[in-house]
Amino acid sequence: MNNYGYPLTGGLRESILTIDWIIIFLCLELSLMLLVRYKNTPKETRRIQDVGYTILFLAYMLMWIGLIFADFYAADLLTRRLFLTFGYLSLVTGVFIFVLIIEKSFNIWKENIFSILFLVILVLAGINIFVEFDLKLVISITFWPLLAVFLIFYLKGLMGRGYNPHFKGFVVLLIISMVSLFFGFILGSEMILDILGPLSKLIADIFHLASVILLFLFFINLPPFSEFDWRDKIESLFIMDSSGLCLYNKFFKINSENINENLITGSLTTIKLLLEKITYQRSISVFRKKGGSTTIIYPGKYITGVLFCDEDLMSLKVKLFKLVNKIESLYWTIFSNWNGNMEVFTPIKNISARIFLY
Amino acid sequence: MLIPITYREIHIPAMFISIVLGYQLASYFLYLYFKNRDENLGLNRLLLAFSGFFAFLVTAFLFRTLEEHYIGGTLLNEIVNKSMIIFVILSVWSFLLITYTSEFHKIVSSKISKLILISNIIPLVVLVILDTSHYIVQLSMIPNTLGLFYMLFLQLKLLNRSTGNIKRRLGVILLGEVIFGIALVLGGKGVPILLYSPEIQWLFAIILAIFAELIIFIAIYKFPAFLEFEWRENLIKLFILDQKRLSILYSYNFIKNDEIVNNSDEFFNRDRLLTKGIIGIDDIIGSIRGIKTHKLEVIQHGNFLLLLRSGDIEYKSLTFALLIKKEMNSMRYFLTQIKKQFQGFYRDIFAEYELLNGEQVEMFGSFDLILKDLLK
Repeated sequence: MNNYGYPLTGGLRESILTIDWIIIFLCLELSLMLLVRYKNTPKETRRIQDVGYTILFLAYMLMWIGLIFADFYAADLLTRRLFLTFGYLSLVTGVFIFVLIIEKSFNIWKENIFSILFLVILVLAGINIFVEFDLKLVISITFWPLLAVFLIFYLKGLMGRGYNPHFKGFVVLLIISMVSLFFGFILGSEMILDILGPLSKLIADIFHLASVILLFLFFINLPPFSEFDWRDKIESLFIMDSSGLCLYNKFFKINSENINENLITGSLTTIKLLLEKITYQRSISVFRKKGGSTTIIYPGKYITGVLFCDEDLMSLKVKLFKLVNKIESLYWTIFSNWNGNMEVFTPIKNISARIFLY
Repeated sequence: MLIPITYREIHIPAMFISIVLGYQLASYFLYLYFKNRDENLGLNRLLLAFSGFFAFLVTAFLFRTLEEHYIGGTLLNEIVNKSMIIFVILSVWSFLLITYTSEFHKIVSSKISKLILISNIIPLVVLVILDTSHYIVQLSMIPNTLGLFYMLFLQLKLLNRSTGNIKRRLGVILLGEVIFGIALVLGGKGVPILLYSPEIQWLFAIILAIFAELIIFIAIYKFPAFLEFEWRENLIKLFILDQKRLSILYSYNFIKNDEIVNNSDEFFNRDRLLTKGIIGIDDIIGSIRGIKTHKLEVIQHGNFLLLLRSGDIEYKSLTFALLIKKEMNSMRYFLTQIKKQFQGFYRDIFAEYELLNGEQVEMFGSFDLILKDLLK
């Protein structure tokens, strides 16, 4: 071992090295998995976020390769710094591309603000290579805090758009993974290593490994990213009674001035009755056209909800189901004895706005 | 400057990566099995069989690593060696045992399965009595090797029965297994050295094993339910409609034994309503949404699903409708094949179709033969 503590030697060297390589391969596998997920998704519901995560994990993998060579095989300080610079620069570049992709497809805060900030860090890191050839300071002061802020905003945004009741559980999994990652970096830092020796590196690696395993579980269970864009995919919403009379409608994208909503709901009632007659079933109906344009009809006991949307998303079916059930549970006494007064349905506007977030 | 990298520092991490990836494969297969268990599909047991196979095989690999790098004592060496062989036997045995069900006996002979399953007990008994170095132990491994080939044979049979995406994925899994097998042989004890030195050959074997595990994982990621194998059982009815004349040119019942389907007048009326309804629904939704260029592709209502395909430009009045129980890729592929075959077979008739009156639809009855061929 040289006087600066590296390369790591001793009885734990082999175990630490083995765990590091396992982390690298799990990252490679995770990135390949996300790329396959992107490739196998139909074009209409494909989201570039999967590619963003692929790049992120590849960058993380490259960082670990840099760290392995720096910690185990660099014979002098200059070589160690060369590998550390390679590793950290790969990570900063990967995170910058990842944030750019996420911000292009997902409104996190102010437009592209995080991409700009990460670009600044990338430039700073580039300058730092020529000035001092040590990225540690740039990484610890600017990169990690900004990444933490970005992740907080991103997770908050994801939770707001999540439709699945289990999704919050997934996010908790992601948060635990991030906490584990944080402890991994702290325990693996040179400062702690100076105090505790290679044992701290072994514990740090176990935290990193746990973090990657949790990320695996998160991504295996994560619904397609298209499900998070449900709000942008709704064209119009109709609530009609059993005779086809329109009780409430909302047009999200088009001007509704010249549209006769009762004509639409009347036609839809005909379709609904036709399908019920053919199949002897009263159930949710989905009509999907080439190109993804979809019509969802959900019949309740007294009313029927209809959504016209651009994609066939599970999140929209769940939301429509919630809306119809909520209206029926509030109005069931009125529906069973309705006198034709339409004003009583004015509050549907508020129920719908709360469920569909407009 | 770099300090020299020792062989052991490459070999050991590579071995453990392969072991971790193997256990991960076993866990993922198990996860897929439990995820699809509600579907109650017999063939889903293949996922469980794969899980057992990889779990035992990788455990054998783990024992091999322990024996080679960490255990020096002779007595312990023999115990670890025996455990390693037992786990190899169990990997094949568990696969054959889990797939020993009536569902799989439709694909492979139950008698041969039983014979191989029982014969695989022989090496287990021999191992208890004799040392691993004894030639009888090596001879007793023959049933295990046969079992391994039988396992591959079963997968080949499944591959032949499948179509589309699932066929491609099963093909990749099989390829991964073959590569994994080559890696095991190359890295095996007492195998002749074909690549420069034992170290290089063993390292090459481990890298090959990791590569094989990665491609198997990619192939099984989001593996479709084994429902795809039973796609024929999910077919209900096929209609080929002429939108212009509002008539059914051809229809075929896939549920032959269902008395309700065959005898009920109600079902006949339902057919008429359904076929004319499809055209109406497409028109209404197209008008409401102002999208007339794109035709309806799927109508889903309760337990029924109707897949729709429009005819090509020369046959644009045709609509191909397949009534099914569940949506799956094989069905889409099947409907596309029907469309291709129908258009190709009746090409000359459609050239003069305008001149024919509506009563000549009986001629399309000959499509039965082509359809039966497609169903094989």
